[in-house]
Amino acid sequence: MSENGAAPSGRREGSGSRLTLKDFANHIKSSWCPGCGDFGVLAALKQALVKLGIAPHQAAVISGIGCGSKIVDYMRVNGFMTLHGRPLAVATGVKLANPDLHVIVVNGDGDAYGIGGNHFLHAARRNPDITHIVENNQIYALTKGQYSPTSDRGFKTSTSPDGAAESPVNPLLVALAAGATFIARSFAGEPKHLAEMIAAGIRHRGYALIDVLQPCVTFNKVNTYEWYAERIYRVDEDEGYDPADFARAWQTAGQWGDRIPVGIIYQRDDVPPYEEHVPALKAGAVVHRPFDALDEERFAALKREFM
Amino acid sequence: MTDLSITIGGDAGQGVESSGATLSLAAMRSGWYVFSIQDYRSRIRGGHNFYQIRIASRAVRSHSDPVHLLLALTKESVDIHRDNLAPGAGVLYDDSLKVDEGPVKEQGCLLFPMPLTEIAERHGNRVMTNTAAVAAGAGVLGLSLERLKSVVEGRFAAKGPRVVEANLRVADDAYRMAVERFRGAFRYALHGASPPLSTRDPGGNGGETLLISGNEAFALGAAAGGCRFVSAYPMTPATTIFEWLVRKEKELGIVTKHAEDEIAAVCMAIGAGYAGARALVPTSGGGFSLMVEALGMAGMTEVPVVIVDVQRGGPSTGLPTRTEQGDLLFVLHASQGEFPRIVLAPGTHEEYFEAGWRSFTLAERYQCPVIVLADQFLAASLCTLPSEALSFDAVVRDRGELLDHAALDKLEPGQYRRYRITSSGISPRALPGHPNAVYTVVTDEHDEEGHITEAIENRVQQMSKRMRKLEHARQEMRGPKRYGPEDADLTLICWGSAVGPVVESLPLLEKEGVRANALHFTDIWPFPADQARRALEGARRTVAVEQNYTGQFAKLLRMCTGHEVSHGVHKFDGRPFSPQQIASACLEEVASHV
Amino acid sequence: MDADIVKRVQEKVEGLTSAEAAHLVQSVMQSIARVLDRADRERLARSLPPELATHLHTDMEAADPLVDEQLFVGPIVSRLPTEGLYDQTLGGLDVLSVPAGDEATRRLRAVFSVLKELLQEPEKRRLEAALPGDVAEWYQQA
Repeated sequence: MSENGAAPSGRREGSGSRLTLKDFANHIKSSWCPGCGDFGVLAALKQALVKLGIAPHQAAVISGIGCGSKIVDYMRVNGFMTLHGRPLAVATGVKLANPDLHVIVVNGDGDAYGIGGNHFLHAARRNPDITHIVENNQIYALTKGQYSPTSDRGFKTSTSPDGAAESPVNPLLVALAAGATFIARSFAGEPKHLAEMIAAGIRHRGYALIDVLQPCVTFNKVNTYEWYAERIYRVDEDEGYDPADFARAWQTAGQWGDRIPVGIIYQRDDVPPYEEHVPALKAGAVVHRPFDALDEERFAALKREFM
Repeated sequence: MTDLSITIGGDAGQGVESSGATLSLAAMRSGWYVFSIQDYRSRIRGGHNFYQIRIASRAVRSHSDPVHLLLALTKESVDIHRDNLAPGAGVLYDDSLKVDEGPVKEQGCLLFPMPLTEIAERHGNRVMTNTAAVAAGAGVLGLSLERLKSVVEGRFAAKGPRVVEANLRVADDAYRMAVERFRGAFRYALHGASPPLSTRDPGGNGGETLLISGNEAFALGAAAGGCRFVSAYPMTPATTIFEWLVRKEKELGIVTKHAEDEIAAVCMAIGAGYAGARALVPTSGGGFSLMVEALGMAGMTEVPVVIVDVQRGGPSTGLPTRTEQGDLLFVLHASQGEFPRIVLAPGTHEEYFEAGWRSFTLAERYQCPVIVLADQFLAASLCTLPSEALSFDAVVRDRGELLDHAALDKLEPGQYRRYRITSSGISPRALPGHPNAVYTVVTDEHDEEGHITEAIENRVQQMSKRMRKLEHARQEMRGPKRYGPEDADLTLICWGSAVGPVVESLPLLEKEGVRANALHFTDIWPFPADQARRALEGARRTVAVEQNYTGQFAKLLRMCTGHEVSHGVHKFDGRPFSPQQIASACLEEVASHV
Repeated sequence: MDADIVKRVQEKVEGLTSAEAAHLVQSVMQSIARVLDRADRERLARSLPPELATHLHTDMEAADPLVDEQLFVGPIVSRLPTEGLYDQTLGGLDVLSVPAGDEATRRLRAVFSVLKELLQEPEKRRLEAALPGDVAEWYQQA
């Protein structure tokens, strides 16, 4: 597979560069609230796939449970909306069974950093070639307004009436500590930038985290479009910023509050994706391996060890 | 007729398991039927391990009481196992152990002290004492020295020629000394070269024999069935399935993934199943508990996946290395809501092998999760089988209604509906990757195209479609297999691994004047109710023999057929039934209810 | 902000405080800024009173073509009451996002109507052409 997703075989040939956003459109009416930041994620994801020439049948978008996870229902693509917290695990299975597919995970902050925290940690260190887009709105919106793992201290909701007492998860630092090879952040209110980050994540060979600041217009009246817009700055505005510099990335990833960094925070290209360590994939995707690869003779040889 | 039981007892960490496996293989290569299992007795203090080997001139599927030869690696082994020795049994031990000889002699048993450590140190080192013990045991028993040496050679080959040679000298010396000193006096010594089975030895008569554990047989079956993906979190007693497949990853092209937890393991397998790989998840009850939510996901999204639950003693951590049949009703009902699932409970090594491939075919035919219920007893016991019993010709690798590329090429874009309503409930499946079959899978209720909807009519249609698959699958579920005479006063009902000791208990009951037969169920869900009713028509009194407390299968049987068993024999101490225990429990039950 | 502009918005949207109206205008100007290239933005700024023009400022060079009607109204919805009372049936707070969406559109139209009063014909057309999807329609109707 080439990095831009061009098809190496007949099976993977899609509309390629002739793709448009329309190829990813379906007839389903979204149930997202008017003005929801998830619309930005949907638009950016489609745009990134178009830009990379990845056709709907060449990608697999795996989501969890939450408002944003419904994204797979709102676009024409191979989609699998799984369980709360589990899309990374399902996606890992998809990728290891058929590495020809471009596997993209989309889930929310509760899904990714809360209930699915263990999978997040292990995906980061495992480094499968999966792009992980987290719609981080700092709230549980599908269940209608409870605080999330990324809610700031003091954030008042129906389950934190006196204000959240826990420190928020800093997903960038966690990912960095866990060994992630690509860590980026973007803002759903700037979908063009987000599309660039998603495309860079898909191009990256290995696990790519894109933490998306995604305003929940209904339940989060603190972290709004304006709140984010006032605080974000692009790390690449500093020409000296080198995403390969771990120490600088650590310092940058730690920033939250008055100034919030967006862009590619960290990236290293010298770690082969997990799939390359899997012996069974040396001969290609196992989904294409015919059953008769195991014949009577080989079966007899297998039995010989028990004699 | 030959039917001997040998016990090897020692402390944990003394290599009891590998000694037992070595002696088992030597017995098999010497031409005998073998059935072996590690540690089944309850009267054990902490740290004591033992291995039970049965050597017979006919196929056996259970361990048996009493013991005819005890290889004691510690003094305590003698104290612990003395009560279970047959008259005239031998106790073989290192002469440096201060064995309490008096009581053994008083029981009419023989003492076989041997300078095992000394022999080991003479030819190699102390670690080889187990080789000396096994070889001395083989000598007393009368197994073939050449076959024993072939086993020793094979087992130590990886450690290099020097280790092999030293072990061979130890084996040779210990074997000959044991023959010379004790074999004449040992009344249970095996006589004559009358191998009931041929071996792969050129002197054999052509057929081949295997000595294989249940889990290995299952893994072999899964490999033969086209397993392409296995993900697991290590959990006793399922780990050996995973480890065997990991060892074969390169050779067979099976992706193997040690996951971060059981939830990840099953979700990865479901992801792989969705992508089109035959995917397997080996686990035990505790791991299965974590997989419950994902089981429903496979049911709702109609993704084929196979989960093997190798049961151990529960609840919770329970008895991690022991056996139980306590998960039956749990796996039948696990996960919220209703969806089709198929549950198989193989009882023999052959059936466990068959479940390895059959589970995949059922999962793909009916596009649903398949659960194979095994247990520690079946998983860990070694059994001799004629090679043809694990037959490649019998393997069916049917992928059901799977649309291939040629079929998909013919479709118009947008025409494909993943969850099309059909009379069988089975909707033709396309794998992700074809431009004419781009579709969404969701765990919410969905329409024919896979889109989320809560519409009333659609809900009823999709739910009915899914559940119809179960009625379709029921047609190929097998009824109970009968063992023993057609006409009997007592019918023993069992499922899964209890079949071995149950079947062996029938002649014991016969001896006590009770004419008994047995019905064994392997296909649990969808329950083969019609076949079960027919099989039970002539039954007079029924006893459900189960390795659990509450009689779960008896409840299932009543639920599905209305048949209420007359008695229940339950065992939940973590140790498998012996035929003798079943026979006496049945007799007690029958007597108390006359 | 120019008291006149705020007042004109208040006249069109009943019950809006002057602070709310000022904020509404600011949100709309910022959304407009994101769909215009730098040159168009500067030209538009020149045609507007400086208090309004200042909200068009952004570091972005080019328009963001992916900003659609949803992202356009997002900042307005954020300011609206969208949470109802406690939802005794399902838990959490009852959602009022649908009326909030309609209200956001109404408010957007009000600001557009004021803008149209301030702009010359060519600028009006240029702005209309830059607005995404349904937003252009709302602009026309304003």
